[in-house]
Amino acid sequence: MTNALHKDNSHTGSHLKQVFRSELSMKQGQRSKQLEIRLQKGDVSALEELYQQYHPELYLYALKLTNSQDLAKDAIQDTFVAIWKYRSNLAKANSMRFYLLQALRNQCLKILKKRRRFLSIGQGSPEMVIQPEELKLKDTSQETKQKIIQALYSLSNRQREIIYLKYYENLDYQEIATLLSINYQSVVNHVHRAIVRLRDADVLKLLER
Amino acid sequence: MNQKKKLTDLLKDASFLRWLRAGRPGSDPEWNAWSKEDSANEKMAEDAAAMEQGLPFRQQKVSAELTQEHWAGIQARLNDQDVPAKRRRLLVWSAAAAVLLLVSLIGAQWLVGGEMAWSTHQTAMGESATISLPDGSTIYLGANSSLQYPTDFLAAEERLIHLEGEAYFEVQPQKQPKPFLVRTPALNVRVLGTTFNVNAHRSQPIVSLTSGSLQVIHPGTEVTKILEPGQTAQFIEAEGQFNIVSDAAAYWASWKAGEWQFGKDGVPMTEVIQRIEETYGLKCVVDNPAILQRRPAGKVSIDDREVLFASLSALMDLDFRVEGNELHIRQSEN
Repeated sequence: MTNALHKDNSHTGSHLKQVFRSELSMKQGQRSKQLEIRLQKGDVSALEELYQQYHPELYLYALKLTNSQDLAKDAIQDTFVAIWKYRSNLAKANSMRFYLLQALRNQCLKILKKRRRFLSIGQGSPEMVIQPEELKLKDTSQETKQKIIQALYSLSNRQREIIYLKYYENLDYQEIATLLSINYQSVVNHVHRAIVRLRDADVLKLLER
Repeated sequence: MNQKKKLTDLLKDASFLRWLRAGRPGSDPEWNAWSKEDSANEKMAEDAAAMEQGLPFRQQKVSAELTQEHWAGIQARLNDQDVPAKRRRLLVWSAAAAVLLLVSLIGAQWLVGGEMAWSTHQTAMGESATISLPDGSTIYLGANSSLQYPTDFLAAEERLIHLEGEAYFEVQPQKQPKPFLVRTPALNVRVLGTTFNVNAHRSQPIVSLTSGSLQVIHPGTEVTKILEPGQTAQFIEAEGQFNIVSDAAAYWASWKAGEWQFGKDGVPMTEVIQRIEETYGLKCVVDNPAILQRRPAGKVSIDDREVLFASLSALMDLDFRVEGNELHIRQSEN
């Protein structure tokens, strides 16, 4: 009996969460529509608002992709200058955040290619470092971190990027597929293989749940 | 629900995800039945649950100053694009004024803060030293080497070490994650919690990883590489990338135990000669180029140079004689 009650509660809980989330995203949708209109009218303060809202997560992603503070900064600045320059294209974007992530990723790959750090645009991901300190760990002993480092480096660069996009940026499978120009099925496969690999390396249970 | 289901489809199915999130066995009898149908289904549900749960990333922070700094750069470039040519001249002047202001601000900061204070450790020829850092890391400093770190090592945002020569590092991981960075004149090493050796005597330093994980960074080209335990890396300028070998780590870690381990397959004599020159500051002279083709194997003690030359002599059947600043290596006479 208590069991059933408990289940019912959690069911309602997740339902409420969903309703709340969709309301939130509606508000965000309206706001970004207004931003978009102001941008197209040539209002720089709209660009700054957009920038202030997204800079931290965009910068962290650029840092992941380029592994360099200087290159990440260049990529961010190039991206926003380009968005300003081609602001008329914004109308085609469904989600501002996704549009920014996409533009930024292209910019990062372009910069890496110019620096001959990453040669194949469109295939594969650049070398991406995820450190154990970026994850919530049950304990921070050297042994635990060591295990996590080993396991993370046994993943491919592509898997690490997808893991980052899915669990840090919270993109869904379809968004990741679009961003990386690969199909839905392979995104699911990458996540599946990476997670199974981490589980087999006994790493998942070291993480805070 | 007896048809086979694919993981891809399951992850799109709202009722499946609801059932998964509520914890198994859940309230949906259909999914409960499905998962019990066969072990493949149960395994799939388990995998899907792990994928849904994912990895718990910490939220990272970016400082407001950095956000502001990057924006200033964007603004400058926007102005440059928008402003007609006539007004640019004025902009140049105001930009110049801004630079001046910035320079004087930086200058003022330097005056107030004074110069950065460094702790320095140095070893003589043939000598080595063990240094304990304030964060609990240990550094074994090789011969003829020097190492510096800021006196406010613990307070700084990253643990920064300047190295000339050679050192073996045992880096202590910290509760508050703080990067550990080793700078040498030609190469930087970013450490991810690790034991490793850096030989920066050479124009292209050699980095060898014993355990953990680290990233080598060639500052000139910004080429980087992540090393795995057991790997040794050296940047090859002609190729613009790192050369990685996986059979040299024992050799590069052995000096701190007072020996050189050449291993079963041996080490080129040219490498041994270079090592002698770096460690003892001697210039090696060889009377027969054939000596350079040899590959000593096994191990020798480097407790002091006489012991080293005696054991090399026994190992290779060569004569080692120090004459002033030079070490003469000759074929044995008998």
